[in-house]
Amino acid sequence: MAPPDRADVLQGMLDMLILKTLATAPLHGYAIAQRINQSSRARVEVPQGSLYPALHRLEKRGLLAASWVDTDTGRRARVYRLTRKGRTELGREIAGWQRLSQAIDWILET
Amino acid sequence: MTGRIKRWWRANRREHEIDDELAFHVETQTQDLMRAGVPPAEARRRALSGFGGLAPIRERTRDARGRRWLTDLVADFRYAARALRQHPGFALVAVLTLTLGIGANTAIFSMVNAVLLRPLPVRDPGRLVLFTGDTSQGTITGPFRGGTWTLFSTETYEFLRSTPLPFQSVAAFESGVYRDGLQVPGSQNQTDTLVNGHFVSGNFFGTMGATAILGRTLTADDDRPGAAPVAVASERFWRRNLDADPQSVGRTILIDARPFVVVGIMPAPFFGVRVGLAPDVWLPLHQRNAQYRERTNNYWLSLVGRLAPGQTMTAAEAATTSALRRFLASQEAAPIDDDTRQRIASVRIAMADGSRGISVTRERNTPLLLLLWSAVGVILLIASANVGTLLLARAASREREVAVRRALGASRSRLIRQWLTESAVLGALGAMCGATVAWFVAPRLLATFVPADNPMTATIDGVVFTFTSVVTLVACLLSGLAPSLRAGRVDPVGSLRLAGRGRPARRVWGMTEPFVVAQVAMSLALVLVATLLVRTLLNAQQHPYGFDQDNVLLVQIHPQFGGYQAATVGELYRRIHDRLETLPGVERVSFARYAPFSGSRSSTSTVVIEGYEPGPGETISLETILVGPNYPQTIGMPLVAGRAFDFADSAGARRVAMVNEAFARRFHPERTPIGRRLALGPNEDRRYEIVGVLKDAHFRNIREAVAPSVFLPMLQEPTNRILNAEFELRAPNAANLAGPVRDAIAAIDPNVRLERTRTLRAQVLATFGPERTAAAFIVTFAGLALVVAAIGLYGVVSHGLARRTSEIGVRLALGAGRVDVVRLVARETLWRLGLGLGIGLLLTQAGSRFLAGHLFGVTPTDLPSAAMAALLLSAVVALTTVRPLLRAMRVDPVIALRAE
Repeated sequence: MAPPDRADVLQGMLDMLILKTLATAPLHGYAIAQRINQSSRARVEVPQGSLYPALHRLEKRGLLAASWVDTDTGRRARVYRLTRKGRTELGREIAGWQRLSQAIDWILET
Repeated sequence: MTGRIKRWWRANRREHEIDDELAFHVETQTQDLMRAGVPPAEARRRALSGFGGLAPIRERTRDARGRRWLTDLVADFRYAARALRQHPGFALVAVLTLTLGIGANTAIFSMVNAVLLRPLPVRDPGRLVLFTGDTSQGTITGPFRGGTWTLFSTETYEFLRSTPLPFQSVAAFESGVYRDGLQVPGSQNQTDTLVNGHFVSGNFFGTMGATAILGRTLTADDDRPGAAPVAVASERFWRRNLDADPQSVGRTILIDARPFVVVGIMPAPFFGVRVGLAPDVWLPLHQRNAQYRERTNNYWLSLVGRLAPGQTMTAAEAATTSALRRFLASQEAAPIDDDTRQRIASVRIAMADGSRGISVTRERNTPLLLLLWSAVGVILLIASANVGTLLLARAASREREVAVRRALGASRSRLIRQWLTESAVLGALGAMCGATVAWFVAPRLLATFVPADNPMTATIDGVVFTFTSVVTLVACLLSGLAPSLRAGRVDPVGSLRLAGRGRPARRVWGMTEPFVVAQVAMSLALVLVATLLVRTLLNAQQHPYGFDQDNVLLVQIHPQFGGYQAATVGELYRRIHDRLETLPGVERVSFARYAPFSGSRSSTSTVVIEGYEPGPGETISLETILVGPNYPQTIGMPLVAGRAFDFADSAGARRVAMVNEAFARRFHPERTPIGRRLALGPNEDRRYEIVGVLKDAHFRNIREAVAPSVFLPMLQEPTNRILNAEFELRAPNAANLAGPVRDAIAAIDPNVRLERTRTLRAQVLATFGPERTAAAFIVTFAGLALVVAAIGLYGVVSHGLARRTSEIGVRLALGAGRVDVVRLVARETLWRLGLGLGIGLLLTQAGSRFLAGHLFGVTPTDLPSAAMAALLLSAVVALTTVRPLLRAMRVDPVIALRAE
């Protein structure tokens, strides 16, 4: 079996990052990747190989909804938006992440 | 349903959508890079490389969506179908091979199911117990015997029925067949027919657990002295003779001119308790001829019981045996002498499972059927091995394809699934064709094992179909497994680089070796068994029977339908005899109660032989055959001493008898038996003088030793037994005389019924029916196995050599001679052959237990047969190597080396 991508390790966090990115406005896949890159000040780069599987997975779970939008280039883009269920899930994930990072901080302080 | 289709349709579209989505991403990124100043080609390349390969991403994205298995399955199926279409030769061979294996298995199993396994169509057959394990039918007359009882008299039955025993009920049925004239007043079908009747006790149907579809079954009230004569008819009888009249209950039928009222009709699947002897009507025991029934020492009944809940057969056996002994003791006058006491103590009843009824076919043929079943099992294994080898060979040549697919991201499990789908498709095709073949073959197969009027059918029912499916599944898995495992282990990079070089091939090849050896072994086993069976048949046919089978015609005759009695029939026989003698070509005519190998037998133990004192506890049992004048000359039995009967030996004249050599050896070893007397009958009232000695002849089974027999003149026999006779005539053109004989007898008296006209040779051959069928099948199987194995071997050898072309080229270039190439192949082939032969011989030895009972004149370890089989197999194996070898020898080293 091929060695696991780094994205596999970050998979849980990737879901959260995508949800957060879409909390403000609906975007298509490429734009999501750009936004995450920018927001993290170029520290996090999402490999395309993990982005699209993650997007489709989230869509299947009902946390995202997608639709096709025609762009001016003539091609159409698949735009994802957060659903209400997604919003709730986002809040839960953020809370969970904050609890975890707090706990790690405590350990590192001792 | 439509929702699912819609979703499936949408899923299909989604495949393209994902492509669009990814394409959009690539486009946009390219644009951005171009805007940042990167040249277009470079920008595109970078955008694409960021993905790291579109195909795996597409796959993973699709996987993330789930619900892929259906599309995958369809894709697998289409791929498999296309692959098979591209290699029609391979597909054809594989499907044919599987058809053979599966079809043969289904056919044989249908028969096995019908004969061996099928329970009686009654309520809860598992609780039925037969009071004997012996399937032979007939009656015994005489004082009660010690040892295991298989037959019972009326009073012993009455006693057992009324004694408290661990049975809900115990019923009795006549042991033997009853046929008599039938008339159905008011029926459309007015031709006089014979009816098969079975006399059963009143509680028979209740014990068996069967109910009627019209009317009622027999009750205890019907089976009393003085009860009105009633009958229960079978559905077949109802349709054929009663015109399926729904008002049949209450109608009267005449059996032997006696009126019986039909009180019920039994449903078609029910046939009583004896498989293969389905009666037309069931009649109460008390309607049987009183003389027959009421004689104290006439043992004419078989018993069947239904166990009470919670009781076991062993407990019942013990209880019943001791009850019987008590009864026998009570019947003897006190004080009981030691002899009788010993005899009573030795009496026992051996109970047997009754859930499948009594089946002579089963008893006779179980080992044979198991043998056939093993043979087809072997065929299936060979077939699977063959298909497996074929698939492996293809796997080896598809290694590049596999490597590329792996590199493109196909997972190992996906590939395995692909292979298994392919073998599943092959298996499904094979199963469909096989089931169709079995559909046609099974009934014909069964027909050769059981007589023609037997209602046993070998239908492909639920059990059989399930069995086929399981067998198919196993065959598929076996065939598909090896290549699948192999495919999983292929290293993509390694095989891409080295494909064609032949090195990885050796690993694949290693897997085919056991298959090939196995095929050789199993083919040998089949060929050997076939050889043994064929030799058995040849031996049986050439064995001296004691009479001359050729040129003898037999005709069964039933004068009682012409109104003849014992006193008047003698003259009829005389007239027929004289008339038949005048037919062109006829040398001799005679008649007898029954002819050899007709299945009948008559014996008596109430006999006193002058000059012979039986030892203590010795019972003399003689086979008695009623014959007419000139019998030995007609049948072709040599007369060793004295004379045969003639027409002077008729009623009123001095009673005479002929005996056979076995009789003479046993009872008169020192001097000739001619002139001695013997007395038959319970009161020794019939005394005969021996006037002739005949050479021993087999009348039933050539495996049994010839029993001491006495031949009595039919014309001197006072009882009604002479109302059934078989005429024999000897003529060079015997087979063609059937028509003229029937006409001649009809001219004398058209009311005399004729049956079963056949030659003596045909009659003898008929008794070998099952053996001949089995031999025919096994010979066919062996032939098929050889063909299949040969094809497989050819494929393996030719493929193996083809892959090693470069190796051979190198060797040749390095100076090896062509002979060395031959030696190389020969060594491998000999190795396979030797191992295969050895294992095959061991297999046959293991199966010899099944064989031994059916062989005649050969043993399972017969050396010449084994040698012949081994030789045949070696020849076949050698043949398969010829063409590939020739091709290999013609390899041009230069071309071979260049072909990398």
